[in-house]
Formats: sequence, structure tokens, C-alpha cells
Amino acid sequence: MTDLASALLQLRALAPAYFVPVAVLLLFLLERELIRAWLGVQRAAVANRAIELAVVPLLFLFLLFAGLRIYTMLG
Amino acid sequence: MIAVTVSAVIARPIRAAPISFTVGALAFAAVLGGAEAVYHLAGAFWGAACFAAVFLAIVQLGVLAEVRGSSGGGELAGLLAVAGLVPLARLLMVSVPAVPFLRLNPTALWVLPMVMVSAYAYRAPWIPGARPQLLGVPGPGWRPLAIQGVVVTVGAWLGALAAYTLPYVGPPVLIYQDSAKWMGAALFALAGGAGELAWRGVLQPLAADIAGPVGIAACFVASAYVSVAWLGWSATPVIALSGLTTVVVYRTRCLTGAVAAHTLLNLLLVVLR
Repeated sequence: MTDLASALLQLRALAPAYFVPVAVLLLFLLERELIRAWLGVQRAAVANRAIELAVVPLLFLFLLFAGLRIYTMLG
Repeated sequence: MIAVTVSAVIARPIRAAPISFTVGALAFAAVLGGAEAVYHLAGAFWGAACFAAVFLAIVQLGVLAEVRGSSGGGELAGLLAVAGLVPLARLLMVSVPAVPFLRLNPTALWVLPMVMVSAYAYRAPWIPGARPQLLGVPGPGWRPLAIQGVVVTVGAWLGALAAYTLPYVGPPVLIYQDSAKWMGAALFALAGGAGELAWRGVLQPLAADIAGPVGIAACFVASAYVSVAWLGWSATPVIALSGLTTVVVYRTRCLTGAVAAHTLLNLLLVVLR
């Protein structure tokens, strides 16, 4: 059995795949702002609903990723 | 008694599947198959990139359908947005950080954003379609309760059966004495409930409204694909339960038994090994 005492919630090794959702999140956030600029706030609110649905999990994953990494660096 | 039965089992008119839905579903499946092939041939990064591209594309189609706002545009936009949960689930699976703490399933963290987006989609008022009831029993009397009870029992039985019959290498799970076991098991179980909420709770009613039985079948295939992609051959009992919950949720419009059964199946599958 592995001793987990030194590996609790540690995220030491970073894989390139971890950054793909972050890139997608940035694209969606950028697109949301562009749509708002092009369509106006009222129409953009309707058009952006699908983007909101996509942003929620990606943002949560990013916060999780950043939290684990910061915890690892501090610990 | 007959009246009670009829109130519990809501029969809805079934629409014929439009050809565009079938073609779209097949194209979607082909693209996902391509991304899956890239993942297996070129590794996690390129696989994640492909799933991300599919996800981006389908969300763009959803936005386009919303902007065009033609008749049925809201329904189509909702369907596209919710169908995007399929490549999203795969993207999360292949790109979530692996944490050694979750020993039973180090990449189980993907379940957390999936739970969040499933709950968000289930509650989103702009996604059309009458969602099945999540908590409670659909109607008075013992029969609706019995149906949900049977679904939960089948889920538990399948989970226990799978734990003892599916091949598994490693020591029995219950010998671990740390919280990592329970965290991993809880996330694994939660994945079942999140899947039922997303596929049977949000995608299925919308697909059924748009394409009738073909939509329901497409939704079942989508959920089976996600299960196989995650669990491999261990997904067999999950697929069997998904077949049952597909029918039960469609007929009773109640998710309680499905969510409980799938959660229980996953929990027993991972803990009793």
C-alpha cells in the first residue's frame, strides 16, 4: 500500500492536457465578450446562455486545478 | 387503481424523428469516434484537444441557433447545448488533474464539474422540455413507489454482481483504512447520479420531444458511450441499468429511482471489489 501521508492532494507533475480546458475557458470568455459587443447586452443575454452552460464546469475545473496547484506549492 | 396507474405513467405523443436529427446524431457520433481514435492513438493532450474542438463546435452551433431564433430555434439551441455535455464529459475525463489521494480512481475529480453542470442544466429555465421530477414519487399510491423501489433494487443487485464478477486486480478495497478510499468511492458513486441527471434528466426529455424514440435511443447510446469510455468493460452493468432507467424515466417522468440506483450501483461496484 502506498503511504499517502506525503501525497495528499498534491499536484506536482503538470501534464499538457490539464491546460486544454483552461484554453477552452478563455476562448468562451472571449467569445462571450465579443457577442456582447456585437449584439448588445439584451440580445447577447439570449445568445450567451449556451456559453454560460459551457463556462460553468470549465471555470469550476480551473478553480480546482489552480487550488490544487497553489496548495502543492505552499505545502 | 387504474386511475392511479394512469396518473403515474404519463403517456406522451411520440413524434416521428426528423431526418435532420438522425443525420445530425450520426455526424456527432462520427466526430466523437474520431476524437476517441485520436485520444487512443496520439495520447491525452491531442485527445483532449479534439474533444475540446468538438465541444467548442457544438456550443457554437447552439449559439447560432439562439441568434437565428427561428421557430423551434430555442428547442434546437437547448438540444445542442445539452448534447455538448457528451464531449465535455470526455474532455473533463482526459484532462482533469490526477490526484494520488483518490486512490481508487485518481482522475475522479472530473465528476465534480460534471455534477455542477448537470445540476445547472437541470435547473436552467431556458432549456426547453419538461424535466422529470428529481425528488419524490410521481403520484399517489404504492405502484409508483414500487417502480422506483424496483429500479433501486436492480441497481444495487447489478452493482453487487458486477463487484464480484468483473475482473479486478489489486487487494480488496475494504482493507484500505484511510479516508482516501471513501473520497474516491463517494466521487465514483456521485458520477452515477450526475450521469442520470444529465442524460435522463435533461438530454432525454429534450431529445424525446424533438425526435421521439430515435431521440431516446440516441440519448441512451450517448450515455452508454460515456460509460464505456470511462470504465471500459466494467461499464456493462451500468449500460444494463441505463437501459432500464431510460424506459422508467420516460414512462414515469421521475428521476428519483434512476439517480439512487445508479449511485448505489457505482458505490457497490467500487466498494465490494
